[in-house]
Amino acid sequence: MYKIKNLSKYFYDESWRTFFKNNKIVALNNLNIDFTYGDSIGVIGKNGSGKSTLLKIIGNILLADEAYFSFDKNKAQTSYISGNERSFFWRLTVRENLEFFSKMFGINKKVADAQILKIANDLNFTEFLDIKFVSLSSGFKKKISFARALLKNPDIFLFDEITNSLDFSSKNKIKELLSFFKKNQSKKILFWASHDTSEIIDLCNKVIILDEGKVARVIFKGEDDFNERIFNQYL
Amino acid sequence: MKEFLISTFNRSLAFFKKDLINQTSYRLSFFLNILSIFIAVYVFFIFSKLFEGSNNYLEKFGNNYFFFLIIGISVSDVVLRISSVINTEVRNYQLTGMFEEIINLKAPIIELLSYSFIYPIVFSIFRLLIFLLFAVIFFDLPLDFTNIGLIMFAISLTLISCIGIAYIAGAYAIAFKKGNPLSAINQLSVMILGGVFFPTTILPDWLNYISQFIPITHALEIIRYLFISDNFLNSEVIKHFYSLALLSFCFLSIGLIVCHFAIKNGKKNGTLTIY
Repeated sequence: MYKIKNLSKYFYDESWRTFFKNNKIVALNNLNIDFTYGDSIGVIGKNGSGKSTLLKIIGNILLADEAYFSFDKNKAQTSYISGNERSFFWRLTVRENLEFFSKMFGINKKVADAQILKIANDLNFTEFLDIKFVSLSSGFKKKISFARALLKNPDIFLFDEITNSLDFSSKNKIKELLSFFKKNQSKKILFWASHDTSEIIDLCNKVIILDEGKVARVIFKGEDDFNERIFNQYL
Repeated sequence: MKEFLISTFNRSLAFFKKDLINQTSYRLSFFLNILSIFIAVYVFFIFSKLFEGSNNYLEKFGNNYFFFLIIGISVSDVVLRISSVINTEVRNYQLTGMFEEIINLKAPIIELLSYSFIYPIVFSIFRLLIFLLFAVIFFDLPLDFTNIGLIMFAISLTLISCIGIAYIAGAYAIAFKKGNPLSAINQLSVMILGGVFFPTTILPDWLNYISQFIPITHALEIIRYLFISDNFLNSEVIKHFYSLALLSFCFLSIGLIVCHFAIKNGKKNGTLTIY
């Protein structure tokens, strides 16, 4: 069981208009979260409610100002996957990109080669392995982001609004991919930040609703309130 | 320890391969890059003819301004390229969102940034050799390779100082993003005060004094002296070696410290991934 207690995060507005004012912005305010292996946790809330900040803190991309973590954040294996599709080397092929990251993850070449092939096979992009990343479509680039996350094989996956800006069919493809992903990663912990409540209902067994940096509610699958109508009230 | 060395080697190789593929994928630019060296050497050869004849300042360089200039230009080319590596890489990472991936790797960011030096160092040394090769083959540049070991040692020390400067400029890019004045200051000081185009002895005393705090000043003194035939290590060159080593140590230490704090601060303020 992982526990995060009293998590707070502040940002400071450094623009001139706040020079003489209190420029402290509370992004997360005294959050308490528990999660364990096999959890698939939806994180919803309005823009600016702190979803990305929470995920980035768990992923150690951001440092919390106050918090108690029951685990060593520097050692916990996490993978932060955002909607940003630019975080690859565009002039390299898909295979070269994945080989590069496998070396960064400390995977030896033989194992990495086999894993890349297996993942490409599972996610159905074997024939695109030797295509330059720049030539791929948006949806496909997100698929490769998945592949990279799978290659790392972390304990905690942090998906941050990855279906944003995708068309309907690409969104559905990603959803299918995620269902497959979830089935195959049943021992992992998944965080899923999104504004799409249907995704949350399909994929998550627990939902954390954030409102102005605070946990407004935690709803579990099976409870009466685990439905789009309730979730939409907080979006 | 063995595992760490293997992982470091693999990561270095991965960065080198990535950068090599990336650069060579721009074929025309790669070709023009090499061609530009030949053109530069030719232009400097013609330019140096203006200063033919005896000159007090150039006496210790055999009154050969072409020799003086080509070494200055080729070494400054290495220095300026390496000094801007981290600044360029950080801006690239910020703009592409790669910083999130880098932070997520769970390895120290400074370690990961340091792999970015490998390709530029190899490529810069390659350019330096091409510079000298062209000058020797086509324009009879007199170079004596007896002291090549010491020259390589001086270049290594120069590279260390450049890495330090690169970390300082990188720290600026991490903290303040655009408009890096440190790169401009470095460029200006190398070209004007570093003894690239003219000996630092020409400068007024106060500027000459400042130039002693610029690593390339000492590097050029050493390299030029040791490339002249019948010259060997003497007390003056040893003094330049000591100065270069001290400056390299200082710049590297300062660079690592400020870069460490810039990263820590960026992670705290959430500005690391903002551009």
